Amino acid sequence: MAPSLRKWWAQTALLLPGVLVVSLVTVGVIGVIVLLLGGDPAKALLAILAGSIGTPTSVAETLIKTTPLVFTGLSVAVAFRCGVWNIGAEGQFLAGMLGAAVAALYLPPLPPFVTVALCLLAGCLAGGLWAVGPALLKLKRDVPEVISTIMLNFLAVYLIEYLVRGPMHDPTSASDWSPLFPPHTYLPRLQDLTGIRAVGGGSLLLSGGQPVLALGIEVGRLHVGVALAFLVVPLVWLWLTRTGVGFRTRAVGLNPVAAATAGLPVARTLAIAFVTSGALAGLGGAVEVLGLIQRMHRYAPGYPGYGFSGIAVALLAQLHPAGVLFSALFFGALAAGCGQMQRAAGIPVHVAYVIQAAVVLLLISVRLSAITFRFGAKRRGAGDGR
Amino acid sequence: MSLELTPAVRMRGIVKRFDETLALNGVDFDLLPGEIHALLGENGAGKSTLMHVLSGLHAPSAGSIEVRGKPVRLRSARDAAAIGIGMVHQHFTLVENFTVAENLALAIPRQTPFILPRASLAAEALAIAERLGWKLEPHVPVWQLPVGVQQRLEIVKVLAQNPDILIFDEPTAVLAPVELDELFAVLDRLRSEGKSLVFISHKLNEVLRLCDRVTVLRRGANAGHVRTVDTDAADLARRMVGQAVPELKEVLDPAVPRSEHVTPAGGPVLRIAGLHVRDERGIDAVRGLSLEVRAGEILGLAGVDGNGQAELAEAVLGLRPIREGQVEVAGVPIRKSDDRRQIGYVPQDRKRSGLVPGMSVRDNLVLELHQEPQAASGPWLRWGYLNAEAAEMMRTYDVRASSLEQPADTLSGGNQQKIVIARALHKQPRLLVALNPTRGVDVGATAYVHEQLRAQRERGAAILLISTELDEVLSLSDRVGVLYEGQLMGVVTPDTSRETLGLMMGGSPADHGALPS
Repeated sequence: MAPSLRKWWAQTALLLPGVLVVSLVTVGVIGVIVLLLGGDPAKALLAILAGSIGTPTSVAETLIKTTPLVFTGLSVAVAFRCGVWNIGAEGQFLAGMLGAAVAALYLPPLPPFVTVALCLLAGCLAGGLWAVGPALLKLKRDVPEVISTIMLNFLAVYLIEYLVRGPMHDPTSASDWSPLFPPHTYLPRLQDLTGIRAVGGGSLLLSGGQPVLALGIEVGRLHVGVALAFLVVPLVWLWLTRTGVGFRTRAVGLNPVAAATAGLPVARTLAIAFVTSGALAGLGGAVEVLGLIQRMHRYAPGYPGYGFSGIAVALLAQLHPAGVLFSALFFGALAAGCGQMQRAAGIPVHVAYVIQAAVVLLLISVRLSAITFRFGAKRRGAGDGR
Repeated sequence: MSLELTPAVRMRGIVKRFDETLALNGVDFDLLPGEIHALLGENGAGKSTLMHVLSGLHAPSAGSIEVRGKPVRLRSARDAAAIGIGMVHQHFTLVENFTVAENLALAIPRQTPFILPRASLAAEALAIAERLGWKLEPHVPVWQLPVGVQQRLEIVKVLAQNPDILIFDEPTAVLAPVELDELFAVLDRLRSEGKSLVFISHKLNEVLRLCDRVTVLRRGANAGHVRTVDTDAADLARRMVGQAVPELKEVLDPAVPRSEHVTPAGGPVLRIAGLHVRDERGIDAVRGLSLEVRAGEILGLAGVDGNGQAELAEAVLGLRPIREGQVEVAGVPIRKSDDRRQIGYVPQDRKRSGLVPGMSVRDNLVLELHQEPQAASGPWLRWGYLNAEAAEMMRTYDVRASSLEQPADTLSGGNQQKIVIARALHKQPRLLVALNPTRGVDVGATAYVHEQLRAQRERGAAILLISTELDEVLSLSDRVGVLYEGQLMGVVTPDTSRETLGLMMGGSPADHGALPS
């Protein structure tokens, strides 16, 4: 046990310089932008801290914001690991929402557990289906998937727009949305399943009464989808490292020519990775719509944006499933914290988007991989088969 | 005489460090005006690195360089070109989609800032080509040219900058015997024009034939410096590898007869009939080829690069569609690459088609094996089994790595090739296809590969050896075929004269002495 623990630590320690860089860059970017806007950087940073990890409620908020990013981050990571440049997690996420919504609205009444499972499955299938077209076009007609998946993002946006204004429109409302789903299709709350309302409680406070670190989690708002996200991470990791198709996915991604020469079914592997990627994003969409929104409404192109953020999440994670969890948590915390910053420090919400984008840009430009790998040059490629 | 000459190049104590590896450890090198100077060494000895330092591509970590007696600091290839140093790279630096003229125009310093006087620049360069006795078609896109012609273009491109110090990095690797003679004639001519030439190679006979002096490198350090008239192949080889290598004699001296091989050839394992295969461009690369390889024999296919070798191998492996004709392995027609249990394959370019860089030694060893039924239960791979098999393969095929977890791309070229060999042989295939299996590996690894091929023959495998190294084909094969433009010029015995083989490689069918194929 001890040697494997040491090995684990040796690998985990590699992440520390990266974590340090991420934190410093983030604090720096926020400080500079807030300062440029004439705000008080210290106040803004404390608000972000309070809103992301400061109180049990904000921790829950962070987890809620993290959940869709875990799914889209994994989706992008799986595709990129196979060398499939799927830029369509956004569309597949929306397709997943739509699939789940259709199932939730039109399935005959069944036991709640069965209904929820079927709705999630419908979302998963719809997301996967959204990737089938680009996969076929890529394999049969050499159409670059970057283009076809981007086009399908628009197709998803406008298909939903048509449906919520037409066939799925809520007749009792003037808004462009579907009726609310029947309550038995909602993802169960963790509180209802376990009876736990909160784990721990209270916060570490600064002398001024500012909360900086929560000592517990408010379970009240969390739904089963949050737990599902945490469960899917190890499953994807096992899939990549322990199954034949996962092994082939990595081999094809790293050198498709050598994989083909060794007799691996490259086209089939690409197709499987592509559709799996779509299904993961679709599952994320289903979780989001069944857990939080509970009706289908229209989206402007680029919103909700979880699919695109998923690319940043996956890249920051260096396409590693466990990394995706941490990098999604980072982006989730940033999103939750920026909401608080808007309320407490009076910084407009759009500035929060600017901050997020600037952080991503800077992190990509400091080449996290170079930092991590320099520290771990000898260990690179060990264990997880990276 | 040489005392009065200022060396064209004088390098002293050159050190080059790449992160943790020391590529050059205090190397001295002198190049005299008007000589052809060989830089000899195994793969990874530092030959190319030293010349990259001289041509401004790498900044040395320590050491001094003088060119024509003046100390210089070279920061880029442009700096080097400005003082008359040009390098013909092993991997061509041509823009494939551009025409010959456009590629030449790129190489020549601009005279006007905006509009390129393409026609006149290209004409100037084509004149250089003509002076060397070469004719280049200015308006043909480079990708349509055979490799030998691309190399000529590469050389003309460098000459167009009018250097008097020229570096050739393994220029003969891709050439046919006839082209080789032409290249040597050109190098000779450049020498007689007073230019100083560096000839990087690991082929001893070429060095002895062409060069005036030799500097031998071994593991980034000087391992000798001699005039070619004062040395011989055995001496150079000793300096190069630093120790006796089994079968070295055979590798050095192709005239040594092949080892007597007693196992009689059995029934046919590979049967090819009327095969037509197209290349990437849709042109027929294999045209109506028929042959048989029997159990327990090595059929060697010689021929100049680009005469359908790769396409033939890929068609036999099921990696490339068969346009016409049949390929049967052990009586079963090849269609898709799905069933590879019978066939082991050693591809020619291990970096591109052999290894998965970034994956571990273990992952690379089990790349094929993991698809076998015994390697999985349901969707899950049995890593216990695969680890054990990988460890076994590593032992059997002497792959020198620190552990199974070591990334395969950090191994030396020879050990990478051993992984590829291990993968091909571990399943005890009935048919082994080897395409240029020793290209780019050093003398020791070459001997190893040859030994493995012979062992497979003894075991009773049928072996199709496709190689552009005529010596290799002759020393290993029981029967020798020659490929020319996708056709078999005939199958002959390995004691056929080189003249005859040379003619066959040039496209004239064997008229007598041919064996039935």
